[in-house]
Amino acid sequence: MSALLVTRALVVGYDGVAVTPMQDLTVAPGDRIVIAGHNGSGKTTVLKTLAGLLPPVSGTLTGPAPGASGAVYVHPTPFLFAGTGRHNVLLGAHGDRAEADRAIASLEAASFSDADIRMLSNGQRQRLALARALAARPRVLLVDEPETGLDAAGLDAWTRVLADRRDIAIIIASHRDVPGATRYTLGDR
Amino acid sequence: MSAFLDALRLILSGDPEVWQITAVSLFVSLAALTLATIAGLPLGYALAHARGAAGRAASAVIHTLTALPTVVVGLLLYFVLSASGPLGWMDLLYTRAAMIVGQTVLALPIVAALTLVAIQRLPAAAFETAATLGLGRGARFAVMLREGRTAIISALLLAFARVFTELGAAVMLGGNIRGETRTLTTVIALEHTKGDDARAMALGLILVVIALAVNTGVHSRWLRRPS
Repeated sequence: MSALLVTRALVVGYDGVAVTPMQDLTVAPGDRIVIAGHNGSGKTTVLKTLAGLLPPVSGTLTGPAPGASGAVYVHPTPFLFAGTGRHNVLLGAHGDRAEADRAIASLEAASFSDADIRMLSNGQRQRLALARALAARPRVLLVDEPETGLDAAGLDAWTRVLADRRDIAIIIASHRDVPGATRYTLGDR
Repeated sequence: MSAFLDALRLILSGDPEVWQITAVSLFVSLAALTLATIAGLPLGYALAHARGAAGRAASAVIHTLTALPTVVVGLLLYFVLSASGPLGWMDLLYTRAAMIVGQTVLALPIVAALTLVAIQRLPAAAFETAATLGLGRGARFAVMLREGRTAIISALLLAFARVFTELGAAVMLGGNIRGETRTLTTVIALEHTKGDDARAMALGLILVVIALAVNTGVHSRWLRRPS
């Protein structure tokens, strides 16, 4: 299967200042990759770079552009735009209601998706941010500490997404192991 | 006190000229605010994304323009619109259109400068989220304005207050022509010089009540803290 995302001798950082080097990655559809490392090791910087939100300091990165049908990044504390959860997921789906509904259902978020985001718990916001990212039909989904705030039902829904959505490569920054995922620990190089 | 009571009597008498002047004031100021909003929101948004020395210079200029004296704007536009000026052929001087142009020039820097600040104060995660979802320019503009709406609505209120209560541009560009370009502020000044302080006070009272009503309405609808 052809690679979606390839890195070679990639060094990530902010404003040209290196934060961490990375092991070379070759990511194919359906791959599950965990980027591990202690606090401050650069996991978020790696994910944002792979998502195309930050330029690499050096090395090469070949992958889909950020945005719908490309690379989509989810923050550890997701930012939701003002309005309802559904409004946010519709933004991700670029107005495609059916796609938004599918994404909301996959995260089992329908019961609170029409509530104003100010009324939602951290876990509910996390599920809606994941749904919004899925609604953008990413080829590579990069999720920063997805377990933050998720309750048991949210974790179950997220685990099912990991198991079922083999059309998407999912790269996760996490301290936890994900079954079947390849683990890269920053600082091991 | 007697002037105040005379003012109340004048308002309650339903003097048609008082209401015509009030209508002209509202028309001119709301038209100017509309034009300033249409131009100022995208200008402020663009300036918020401007980087480097040019961006800083543009930000400084737009903030400085918020302090332009109304009479200076009136004077500059008078020269531009007068018969011998570059836009004299448009024959706008001493019309409501000229007053709208003047008030738009006064309101535009306020809308643009405070929109710039509102957008710059949004969290980086808002811009990253818009980028990672692949929102187009129009969608990004819309969601960022929505995120900064509280500050932007305050900016529009401030811009309205600036133009609704200004005198310099209105009198220099409108000419205070009865039935045409008289506004609350120009007539307040006129009536005071004529010694009719009751009429001046009545018009001042109307101006304050309208400003209060607009602010109260906007605050209760859009700026109330969530309970």
